[in-house]
Amino acid sequence: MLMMPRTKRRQSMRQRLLLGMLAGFIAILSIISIGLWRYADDAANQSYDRLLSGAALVILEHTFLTTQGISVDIPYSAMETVGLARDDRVFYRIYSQNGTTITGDSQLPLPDVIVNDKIPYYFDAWYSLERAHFIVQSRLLTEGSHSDTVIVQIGHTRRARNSLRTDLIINGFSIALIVTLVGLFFIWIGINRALHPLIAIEEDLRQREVTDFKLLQVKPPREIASLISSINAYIQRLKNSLEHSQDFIADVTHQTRTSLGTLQGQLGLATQETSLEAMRERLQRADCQVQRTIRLNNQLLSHAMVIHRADKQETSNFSLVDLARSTLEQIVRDQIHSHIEFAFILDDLAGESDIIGGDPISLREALRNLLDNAVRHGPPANKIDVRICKHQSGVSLIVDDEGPGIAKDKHKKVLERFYSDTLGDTGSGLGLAIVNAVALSHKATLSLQNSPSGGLRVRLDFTNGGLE
Amino acid sequence: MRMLYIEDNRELAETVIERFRNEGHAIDLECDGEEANELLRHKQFDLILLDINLPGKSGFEILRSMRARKDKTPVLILTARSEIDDRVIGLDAGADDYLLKPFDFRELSARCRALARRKAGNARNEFINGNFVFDMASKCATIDGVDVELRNREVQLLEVFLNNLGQVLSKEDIADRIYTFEEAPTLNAIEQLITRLRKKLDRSPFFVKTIRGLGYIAHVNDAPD
Repeated sequence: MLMMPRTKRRQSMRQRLLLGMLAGFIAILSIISIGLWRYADDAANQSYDRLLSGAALVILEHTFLTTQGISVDIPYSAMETVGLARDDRVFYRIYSQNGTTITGDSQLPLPDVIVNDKIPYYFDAWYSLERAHFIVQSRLLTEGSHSDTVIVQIGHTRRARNSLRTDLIINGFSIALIVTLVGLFFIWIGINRALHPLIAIEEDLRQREVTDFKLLQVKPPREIASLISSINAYIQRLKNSLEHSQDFIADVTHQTRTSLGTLQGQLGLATQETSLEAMRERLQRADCQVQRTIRLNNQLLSHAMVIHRADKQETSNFSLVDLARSTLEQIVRDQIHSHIEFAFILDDLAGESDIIGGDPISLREALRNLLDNAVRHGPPANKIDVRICKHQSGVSLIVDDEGPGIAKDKHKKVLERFYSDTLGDTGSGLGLAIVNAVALSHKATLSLQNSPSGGLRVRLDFTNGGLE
Repeated sequence: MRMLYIEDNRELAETVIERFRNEGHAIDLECDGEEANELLRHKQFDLILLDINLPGKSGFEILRSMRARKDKTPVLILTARSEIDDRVIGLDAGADDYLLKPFDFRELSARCRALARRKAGNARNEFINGNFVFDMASKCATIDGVDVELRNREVQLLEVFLNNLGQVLSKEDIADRIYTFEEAPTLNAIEQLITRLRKKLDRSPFFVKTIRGLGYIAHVNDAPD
């Protein structure tokens, strides 16, 4: 009855429902079986008890009290009645109240109660290596002033009873089983009908190409309507994200090809120059172009790394102060020959911890980009401050420079990849996009402001404390 | 200078080798990690340029087995891997410096000179760069052959900086290294000391840069040999 699943999958809803129903039916079947067993037992006993009772009454009818005592004339028909059960052996004994056996088997087991007048008493006992069922019934005989009680005990083995009981149970149980199976079959059909929309969705999704972002076109029942709309919303988001990456790839392709094309152009011109001086100048330009291409390449890889790490969610607790300090030290080392003044300012954190949860490698990359931007876009005698301070609900990382700053109306734009204004001679168009991506993955607020000294202030407000 | 360049990209290796040869250095190329490791067991070089991704044995493994043999030849790692972790592992494994590919040859050449100079200086107990000489035994510094006349503290400070070139030292770090507990200098005193040292070494390629809030970083401008 249970349909085997086609492949090894997690337990299906269909299976779950069906198993639940099956358990219910088994419980009902068990209860029915107990009732059935009791009914069959009673029925078998009652019918055979009537035979015993009939025989006993007939025998009692043929008992007389004479002056010599009780005499019995067992009619043939009495034994005939009891002997209807062919496989069973029959035992009998007729005795008086004082226990004297008049006829029959004197070894028969006695009942454990005193037998009342007229009311038959039935009991089971072991006799002759078999369990047997007995009836005892008495009759008061009166002859003149003399009276005595005669007791008849008849019994037979239980084979016929048991076989009748078994027949009754088997017949009853078979019917119940058939009803159960038919019931389960209808439930199976019902479940399939109810689950049909879900199965259709499953088929649809399984057979889809990875590039197929059509929304699910099913008319879902009320119960799963919100599930379907969630799936559709997810498909839509996936589609947007893919389109986003396609845009990114197109941008990257454009940028790298342009960069390499320029390089190729410079080198091509250099080979055609006849004067050594002009050739050298071309080559110097080509060299500059190589520097830009390398930077673009590095920034692209850095951007990819930051995004990838955000997807992998590699997070740990680390000290923002330590991270900012070591990153600044590295930048200072690289800028040792410049006239830029660097400062590291640690404001009073007023009990606020500088431990934040996140990915230190990505965050270092972000800060490096901020410092790199500040160096590139600022004057030779730039002043660059890295500041860590407290805000309402966490710590902030602030980078100030004395560069030209960014006009307020462009603050949002410059966070986008390859925004044209950032694609100058020095910019790769990715620095702030990297910072933005890192801010997003750290749930930090990134804001651009004017620094007190007139340059740009980039501020990252972290709200999350350490990880749990 | 006798150099070994361990690099499996022949195109890149050719350009580097040609330029080093033009500068008058003897430089050999080894493309396989395993063979390079064997070669280093039997032959001494003044400087090793080491790539990380190599067939046979990785650059880190070569470096580790060198240091395990107590081979102190300066090693400069050239890596194209992006993660900072690699650099840390490289320096921890005993590299003296690293450079990320792609690199500018002038930068590579300057780094190599600095490493070679450090090695030679340690051997002679002298720090020499251009017109600046510091004799570590006699504690005497000269610029263009003229004695700079450093006071005791200034000599100690110069030694601390020369031993930690390119590293950021906080005022506390410096105080720890040149004062005893009893002397307990004010941070102001250290500032003044550094100002004096700067003034005296003004004409030398040695200089100290201040990073407000962090400390000081010393550097020696590279002078061509």
